[in-house]
Amino acid sequence: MSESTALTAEQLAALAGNRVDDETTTLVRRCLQGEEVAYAALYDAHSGMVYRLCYSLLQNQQDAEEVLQDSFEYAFRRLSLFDARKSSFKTWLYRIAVSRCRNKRRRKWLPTFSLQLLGGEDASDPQARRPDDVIALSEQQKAVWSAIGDLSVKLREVAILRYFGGLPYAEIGEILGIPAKTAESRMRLAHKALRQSLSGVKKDLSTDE
Amino acid sequence: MTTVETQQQHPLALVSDYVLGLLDADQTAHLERHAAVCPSCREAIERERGLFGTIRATVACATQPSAARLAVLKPTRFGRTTVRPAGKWQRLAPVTMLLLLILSAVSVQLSGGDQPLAGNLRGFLPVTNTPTATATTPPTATIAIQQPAERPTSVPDARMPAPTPEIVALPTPIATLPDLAKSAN
Repeated sequence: MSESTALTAEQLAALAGNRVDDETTTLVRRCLQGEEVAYAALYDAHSGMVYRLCYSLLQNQQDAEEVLQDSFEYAFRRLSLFDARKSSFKTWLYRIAVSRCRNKRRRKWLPTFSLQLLGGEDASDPQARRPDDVIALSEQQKAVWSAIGDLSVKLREVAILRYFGGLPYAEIGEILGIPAKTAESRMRLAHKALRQSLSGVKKDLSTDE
Repeated sequence: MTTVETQQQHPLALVSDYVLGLLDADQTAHLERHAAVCPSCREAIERERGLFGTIRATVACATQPSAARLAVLKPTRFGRTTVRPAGKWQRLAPVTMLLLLILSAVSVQLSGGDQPLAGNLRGFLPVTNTPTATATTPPTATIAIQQPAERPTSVPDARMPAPTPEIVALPTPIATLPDLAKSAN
């Protein structure tokens, strides 16, 4: 690492405190210098978690893939606007992905004609759009996945970022554009709803055994 | 023991918040001190942690991405800025503006021909010519002087030549003005 690069990373770390990811910041800098290898490395480092986030929010594999591509294309196009002093790259990327997921969900509410109807398949049936991966889950996991899907969008967003991402509530609020206290209260409600949904499932599973 | 005393001794209401990381430092320390000596609260914390872990594992398992699929979805174009192609409405904007301009000109032309704008467009749009000269009155005197044609009151048109008086001989006598005045009385 060159002296100038190390100096710049230290300056950023001094400004943003613990928010700066040195490796990611270095990759971002190399991307802005035009290195395509850096873009690929940035994608490889964050695509998995972005995909998981999108899939958890949308619960549809095809939609999640579209949003994943859209999010990265948008992020790479506006990489010069990323400010490491304000947030980490992961937070910035998650914010883009959540926004794209919301847009995707809104577009689905528009009246559309699906060719699936001609084939007799009910396009409105959510089970019809479930990916094959869900079949590989155990019965309990299927119940959990279904319970997460039954949550309202607002609660699901907070729950996924906390359960899977393990993010602090301040960061969750930053991603979703809500106060940290609101994120905390929504998490409390989401966990309570999931506990109630899964308490009945646990009884069924124990009686089956 | 009352319910309040029970809750104070066994803060089960705080267990969920403790697992979710919603307690402050003092509450966390209090609960941990209590759980160290209370088996029921320790068991409640373990159940809540188990639920949290089950949900977390389910999300991780259900959303496991395929490395090959992620590679396929990788953007192929990288760059600092990407010029987006003009959208449909952006491409149609010049055509729309031209149509609006033509429509506004046509509407002005149809509303009135004396408008300056309409005058300027005469070379481009079909204009119906309206006559501006007035009809001349026939001469009344017997004397051979033919009164010149009455000049039009509008702006003189350079294209029309000025009429000149002519001396002609009339075949039949015509009543003069004094005779007409006498007959009227």
